[in-house]
Amino acid sequence: MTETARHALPPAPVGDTHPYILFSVAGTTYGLRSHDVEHVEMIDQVTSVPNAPPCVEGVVFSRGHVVPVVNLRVRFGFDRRARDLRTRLLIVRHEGRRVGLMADEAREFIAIPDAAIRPPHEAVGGLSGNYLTGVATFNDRIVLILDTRDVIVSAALVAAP
Amino acid sequence: LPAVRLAALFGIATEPKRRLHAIVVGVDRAAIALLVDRIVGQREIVVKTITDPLIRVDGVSGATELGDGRLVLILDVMSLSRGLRTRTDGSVRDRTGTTSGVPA
Repeated sequence: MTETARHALPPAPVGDTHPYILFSVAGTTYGLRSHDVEHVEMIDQVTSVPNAPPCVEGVVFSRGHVVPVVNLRVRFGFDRRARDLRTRLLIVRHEGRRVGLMADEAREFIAIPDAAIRPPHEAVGGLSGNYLTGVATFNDRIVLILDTRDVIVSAALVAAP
Repeated sequence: LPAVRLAALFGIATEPKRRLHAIVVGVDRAAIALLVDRIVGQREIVVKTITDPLIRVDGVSGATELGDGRLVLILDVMSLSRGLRTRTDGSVRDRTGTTSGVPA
């Protein structure tokens, strides 16, 4: 089952507003530019890959492609948790690669004005291994904006929890 | 014939078993026996090469889809048997004592 994000596009971004896919990992809401997300799907069966980096849950077959699955809980330093009906896989594309990011849930597609996004505090940015590009605050909510490239590229370097 | 527990090679903790299945691959001096838990079946497949660095690991060359959404990893026998010649972690047991170059 697939929840296609692109079909739900809001009116074209006006000025400096961009669409984001929001999802949660360990109680925190994160956002990825929807441009980077190909689609969001439910996870059925993940085939584990021996000797892969700790945050790599395994591989899945998605729309004709063999796609690695990065467990974002492990990627961000939290404990693994059993998958449930809310678990979602965000298939992101970056420089020809397709990588699945496993989140606790992903339910929102929202436009965030650039003005609502501030660069991450120096201390937080350092701790998070640079995968945060900013912190969005709007409607009494806080959303951490992720850098697709950093989440994927440095995934192999994350040690086991 | 050198016999290798695939689970040990892949760093998977398993219960010691009395019975394992051996799949003999390769020919002549390059032949090895891969010890596995269970033989599931035999079928013709289309192999999709694994290219993403996150899942490119030694001994696995590709994957195939079984038709029901499940992915099956395809072993790279050449790389597995090559890797064995340099391993010393005890996952290889030389049953015959005649093979040289393989850690016992």
